[in-house]
Amino acid sequence: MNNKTNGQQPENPVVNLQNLFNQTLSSLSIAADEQERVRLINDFFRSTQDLPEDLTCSFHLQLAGLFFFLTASFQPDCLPPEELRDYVETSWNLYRKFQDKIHFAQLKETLGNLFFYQALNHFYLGELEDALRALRRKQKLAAADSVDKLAEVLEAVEEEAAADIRELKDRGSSNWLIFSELAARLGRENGLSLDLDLIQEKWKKFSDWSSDNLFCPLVERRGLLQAGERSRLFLLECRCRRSGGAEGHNTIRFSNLPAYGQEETYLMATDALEAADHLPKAEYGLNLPPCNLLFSFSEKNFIYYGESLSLPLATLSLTQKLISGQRRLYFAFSRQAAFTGKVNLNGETQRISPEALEMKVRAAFYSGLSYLVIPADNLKEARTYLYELLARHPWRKLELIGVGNIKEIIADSRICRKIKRPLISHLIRTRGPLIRRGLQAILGLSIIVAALVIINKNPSYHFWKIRQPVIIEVHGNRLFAHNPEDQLLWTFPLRQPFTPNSLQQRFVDLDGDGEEEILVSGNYLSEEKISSELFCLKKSGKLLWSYQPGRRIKTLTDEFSNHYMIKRFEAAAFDLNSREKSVLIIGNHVTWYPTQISLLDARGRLLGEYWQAGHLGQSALLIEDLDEDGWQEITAGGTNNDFQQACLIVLDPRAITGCSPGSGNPDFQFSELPAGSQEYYLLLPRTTINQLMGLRNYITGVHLFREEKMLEIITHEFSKETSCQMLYNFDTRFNPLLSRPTDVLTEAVRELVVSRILPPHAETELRSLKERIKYWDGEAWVTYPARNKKLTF
Amino acid sequence: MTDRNFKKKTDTEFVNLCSELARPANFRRRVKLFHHLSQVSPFPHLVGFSGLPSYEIYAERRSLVSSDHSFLLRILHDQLSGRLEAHLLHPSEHRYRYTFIVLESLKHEFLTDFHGWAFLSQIEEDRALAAVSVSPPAAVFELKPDDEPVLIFAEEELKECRLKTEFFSVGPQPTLKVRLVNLPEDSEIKRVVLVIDDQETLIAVPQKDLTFYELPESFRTLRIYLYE
Repeated sequence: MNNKTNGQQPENPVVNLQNLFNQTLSSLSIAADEQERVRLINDFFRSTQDLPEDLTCSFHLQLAGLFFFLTASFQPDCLPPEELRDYVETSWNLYRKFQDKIHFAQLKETLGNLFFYQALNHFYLGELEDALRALRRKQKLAAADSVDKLAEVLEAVEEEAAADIRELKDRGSSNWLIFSELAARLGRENGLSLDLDLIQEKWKKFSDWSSDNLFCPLVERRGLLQAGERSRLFLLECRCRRSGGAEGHNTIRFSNLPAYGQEETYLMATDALEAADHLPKAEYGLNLPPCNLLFSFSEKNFIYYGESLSLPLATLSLTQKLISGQRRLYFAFSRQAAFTGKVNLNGETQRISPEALEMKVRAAFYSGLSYLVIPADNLKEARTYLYELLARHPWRKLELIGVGNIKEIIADSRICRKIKRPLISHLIRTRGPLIRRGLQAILGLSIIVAALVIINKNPSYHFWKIRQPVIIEVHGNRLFAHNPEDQLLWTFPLRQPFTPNSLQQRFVDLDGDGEEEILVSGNYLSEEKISSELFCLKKSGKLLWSYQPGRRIKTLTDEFSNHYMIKRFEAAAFDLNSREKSVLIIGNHVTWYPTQISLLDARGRLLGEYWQAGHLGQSALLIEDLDEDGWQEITAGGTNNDFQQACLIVLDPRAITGCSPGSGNPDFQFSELPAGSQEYYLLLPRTTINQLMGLRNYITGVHLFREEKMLEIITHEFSKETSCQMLYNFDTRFNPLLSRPTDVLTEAVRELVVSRILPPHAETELRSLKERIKYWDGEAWVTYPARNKKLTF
Repeated sequence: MTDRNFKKKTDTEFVNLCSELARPANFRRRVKLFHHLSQVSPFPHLVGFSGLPSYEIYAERRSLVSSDHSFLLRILHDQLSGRLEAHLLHPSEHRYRYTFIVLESLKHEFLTDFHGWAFLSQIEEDRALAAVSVSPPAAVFELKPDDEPVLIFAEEELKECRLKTEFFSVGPQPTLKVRLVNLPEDSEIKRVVLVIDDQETLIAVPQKDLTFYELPESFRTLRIYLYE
């Protein structure tokens, strides 16, 4: 006896208290989550609350801060509201005890969070009155500014009118529907809308359908003996992909499985997969290909050990294998249901231990689930556990579904939904690469055919042809460019068709870049008055510029419309020191007169224009540097309608402005135009035969004899069978050297003199016509050779 | 001690009196405490994950126990005020209420309050707590106005001990004169503590079994604690 008392330490509450505290701290440090920690602290408070306050004071104070910190933000699940009520009471007790150490706001935060989850759990259980009371309490928290007032307002929370709610409770088929209807009925005016929305949000995790995750209640193993302590709901997720050809069998991996009991879990999962393979094979004759399956739990800080995971694993594997096997049909499972049970290789369920079952029923009961799927063999005892819980919470609507085989799960529309993909999307999914390749091939071929058609239709893309146009033809309203092999290179659209015989073209290097440009002009075919246009094109057919001659011009008595035809155009380097060429265009009005002489630079800009009151001949044009000043003069011949006689105009390219000199006749006097800047303007006399037999004479040719430095001008005087012409010779300063008639003219005059139609002097005058040539000296007509004295160069 | 008494003392006697007051009590009746292995607080670890400051109001630095495990002294750090506090626990209230905690290496004494709490000053923790003992009261008397002191607790040796008290006034405040009588021969009272209320506690070193206390103008029940 003595030995016994000496050998044992006397029982001492103080040290026991310290040991209990240390034990609590130890448990706290390995607790899985905040809910667990809160429970441990609360247990310590509860177990020591009967001890003298002086003893427990420092321990309680040490844990109080953490208790408030945790309860202000933790998110408990599967927790009976009674436990939460217990936490509320503990909060109050601690606050009253350590009022000077704990901030009032901390208490309010804690109570707010606890009331919210109390309400949520009451709603889960269908206890609407309690839930609303908890929400109202939470609502009242905000208004209280002292602990006394807080206690007062919380006690004063009135109860909801029970009759309405009872009717609602009786009517609803599920707790979720009851809650939804209540939330809709309460509306947004009572200040609870935010909390109701939050509850709705929380509850949503127990809604919808999913083919890659489902809920399963698992029993947690705790402590050294790894005893089952409680059950919690976990979301089991699964990802599946087809394994490579070399593997040939299913592989499983858990992403966050605790080390304890890992081997058993893997063995169980292998069996579950066999079960998942068995059903499609037996029912539909489908051999699902081997897959790599990756399972993961929504939490990792727990130790699971048991066999009731195999039913959820098999169920989830089945649908995942169908999906990865690219089957059109697969399954989605309700997230209103939790699955637990053991399956054998044939997919038949087997009974699980009643202790674990009780905990699982409890976990499902205190959650927002509507169904708990268990093995059919466990149904009877599960109902017993459920009725025990229902005795406390009679409004909870949790349905137990007993299944004997996985196929019963698939057949139950409450917990499983068959999903059949639309044929098109299924084909895209399964034959995607093939369809894609086919479409790519069709697209490629289409592109090639389209390219060939486009190239064929568009000569510009005929890369194999010699890309050097040598001739332009007009067909309808298009210009056609041909190469030396007479192959069409390109076409150019015209706004209207050209008359074919009006087409003029030159291939010249205008800008001196070594590459020829194409100048092409023509008269538009029109039922109205004709007009012309000159185009400058690159040899590829690209338009560089275009020019239309003429403009509306007035005389003192008349007005000419803007309808001019290009009689002739020439491109020449008028400045002999320049590489660039300019374009000279002679265009006359459709009524033959007046005539416009335009000079454009290489880029199509108008450098100058000169107006002549008469017609200029197409071939009576000479471009030559007569005075050897480095600039090529333009010598053009024609007729002057004002004087009714042939005229010769010499223009210096540096000054091309104004109009031809007039006689003062208002019919031929251009308004708005200055005096002409021509270098020379000569009027060649009319022969008597011309005066009697013709309207007026005109110049038909201007020729240069370079060796003699002599110009020959030919005028047309009379026409019988052939043209009767006068020839005038000038030096390069336009001094008349000689005038002589052609033999035909002499013959014609002689005949007419003999016939007395012409006077006798008509024959003799032919030798002296050069004396009657008139020159415009810039101010007046003179009979001696004179240059325009108004020119400054 | 009145002015008249002071006048009679010589300078040497004053020096002796002062040194007596400042000298460690060197209690005869004291219980030595030993360091007790305690669980490392999990809180810094826990809150470390959330990145939040510690929500542990009091952090336990260390705990000490007596050899019979009856006394438990918890040294706590108040996170709010930043000071060290000591919480003395014992199943019997007379052992933790108004008990001297003696930091022997520093020769400092701290008196616990009614609940067993004592505020430690800024001490060098490791050195100060190397050797700690507690000295609980050897006898407790209750004194009501116009009444005789009543013994409410005493150690076995002091069961016969009595107090003679006398109230008199030498100034505006009343003065209490306490004389220890009937003490056992081998007993020496090192400190006499007068507890006026929760707020006010007066500690006296008895001189020839006699102590004087200046009292507030109004007071109710007084408690007198004797320490050997």
